[in-house]
Amino acid sequence: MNSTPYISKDDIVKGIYNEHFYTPGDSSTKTLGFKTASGTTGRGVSLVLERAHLSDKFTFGVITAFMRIGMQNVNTFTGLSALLGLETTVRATSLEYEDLKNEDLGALIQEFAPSDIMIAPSASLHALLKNLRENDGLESLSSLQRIYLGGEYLSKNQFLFLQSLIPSHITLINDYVLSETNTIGYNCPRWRELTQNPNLEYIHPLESVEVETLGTTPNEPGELVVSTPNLKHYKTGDAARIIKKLCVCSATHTVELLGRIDYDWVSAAGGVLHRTQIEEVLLPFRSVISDYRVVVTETYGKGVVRGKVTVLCVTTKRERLHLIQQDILRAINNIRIASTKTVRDAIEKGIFYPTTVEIVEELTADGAKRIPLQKVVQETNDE
Amino acid sequence: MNIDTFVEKELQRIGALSSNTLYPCTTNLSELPSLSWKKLSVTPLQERTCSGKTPPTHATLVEKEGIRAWILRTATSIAQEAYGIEDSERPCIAFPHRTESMEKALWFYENNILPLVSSANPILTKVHMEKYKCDSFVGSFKTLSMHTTLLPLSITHIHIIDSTVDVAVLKSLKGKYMVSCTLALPEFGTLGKLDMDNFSESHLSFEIHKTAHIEWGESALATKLLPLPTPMLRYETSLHLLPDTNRTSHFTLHE
Repeated sequence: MNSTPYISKDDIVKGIYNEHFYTPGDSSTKTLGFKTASGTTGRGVSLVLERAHLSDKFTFGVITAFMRIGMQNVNTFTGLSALLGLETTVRATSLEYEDLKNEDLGALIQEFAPSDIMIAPSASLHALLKNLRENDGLESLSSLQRIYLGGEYLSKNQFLFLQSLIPSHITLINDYVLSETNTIGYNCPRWRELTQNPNLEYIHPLESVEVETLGTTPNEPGELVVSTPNLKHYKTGDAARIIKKLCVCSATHTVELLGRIDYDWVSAAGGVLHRTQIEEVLLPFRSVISDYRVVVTETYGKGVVRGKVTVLCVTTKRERLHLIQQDILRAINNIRIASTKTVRDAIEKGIFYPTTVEIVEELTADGAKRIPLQKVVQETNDE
Repeated sequence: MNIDTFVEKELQRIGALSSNTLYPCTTNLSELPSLSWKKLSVTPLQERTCSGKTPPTHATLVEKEGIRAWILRTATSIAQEAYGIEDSERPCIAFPHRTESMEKALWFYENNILPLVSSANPILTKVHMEKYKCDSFVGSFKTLSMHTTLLPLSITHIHIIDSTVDVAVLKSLKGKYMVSCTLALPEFGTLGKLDMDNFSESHLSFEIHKTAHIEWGESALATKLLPLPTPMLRYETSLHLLPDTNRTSHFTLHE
């Protein structure tokens, strides 16, 4: 790769205003619009969606439903690009979160008879399927060929679970997608079959994408950096290892995705927690807590996805522990996990289980990496 | 097209679809009861949709009176609307709901004009309007108010499409931009185009669009003369429209 500097999302945001790093597609006369996505940082990133960008992805109709924080514009322009990007008759519309509960949703899908649905996060797919099941609308998916999930880390087990919920004629696709760059690579079903570790994802980068890991030797994990025709040396914030070995599917490179590079972001059941949010609410307790870990659990059970926050605290205090726990509980429940929702709101709506605060003796063994925020995925038989 | 001929054909088309429960079996416009938003929106989608064998191209989400409902449109019916927009080569589109922006974008595209659809962030919209040298802004009064102070110098035309008229805003824009104002309902489409040469708080005169047939009154009833997936026959506009006494081709809007 050349000497273009490595850039992060913050650099792109600044670049929008001084055009330093961002290069729009050269067919600017075709530009339909631009999308913004906050991704994990809560800050807007603007980029350009070319007219024909997605035209080879959809067959005859698409419904987009991007529900993640800051992805509303992605929703619009993905649908618009599909709507205007094909030469043949095409149809497209986009949904919002409230629409997933609309009794007419099945009828809408049936009228549209799309070939594709693009939806994120996976909790929204759960909500959509739940709606269709409850309103006898699963038949409306008869025209569907593909469901695209977007830009969400899904383990093998999570993916297979989701796949088991959808009719067998539909292909579930969870490509590796970044809002700033669109599709980086696609999941290899062969790797998914062979992997011993169900919590990892294996991606083959597209031919137009170059991948490397920052500051490490080959085969060692590091921060994944991608370069696309429009964006060079972009630091993804994901931890990965690059395996340069020919796959049975003939891909030459495989990216083994290990998770977020600094464990500062976790999503569960449609909500997102940032490490900085947790640090902020736990700061007042620094005199009583010597260490903590927040474990965010995402449970899958009978078509329902729920989250749960567990706070593990190490403290030398022995008195008033119950009061300390209650204060921490209140503080954590006030954390905002979506633009219109706190942890408490999610609990009240049944999206999250009640938060728990546990006092433990130790969290991190000597020399081990401290993990302040962690995600755990579980299956359950609960309703 | 003659209204009676259209209605007769349309009712025959609707009547042939067994899913329809919204429109009674009649071939006469005067026998057709008026259609309110409430009635339309609470009727299940399949029972109020008359697509036949052709799937709709797009669904616009309309939210009125606390009810959200999808209004289905085809590319053809969208293209046949007229928003009073001329001389626009690179419009920037901004409506309160994204599906309405998508629909208007499709109108431009079907009329061989490449649109740029805005972001919810007016500052980013401004950056891109400048980057792609947009020459016109297309939106409602509400979205216009979010962008007015940020319009780049390349913008020379402003096209407002809305179900209401803000005379003070129009007066403030006139002279600085070429302005057009079209009265339209997102669920119905175009009703008419405002006479920008002669308007005031007390006199708002619109040229009736050829695809709209209006029955005057306290709440005017409008019929869309296009075969729509969601037919609009004797639709209660909730607008007080009266014929313009000076021009038979126009109507006036009253409070």
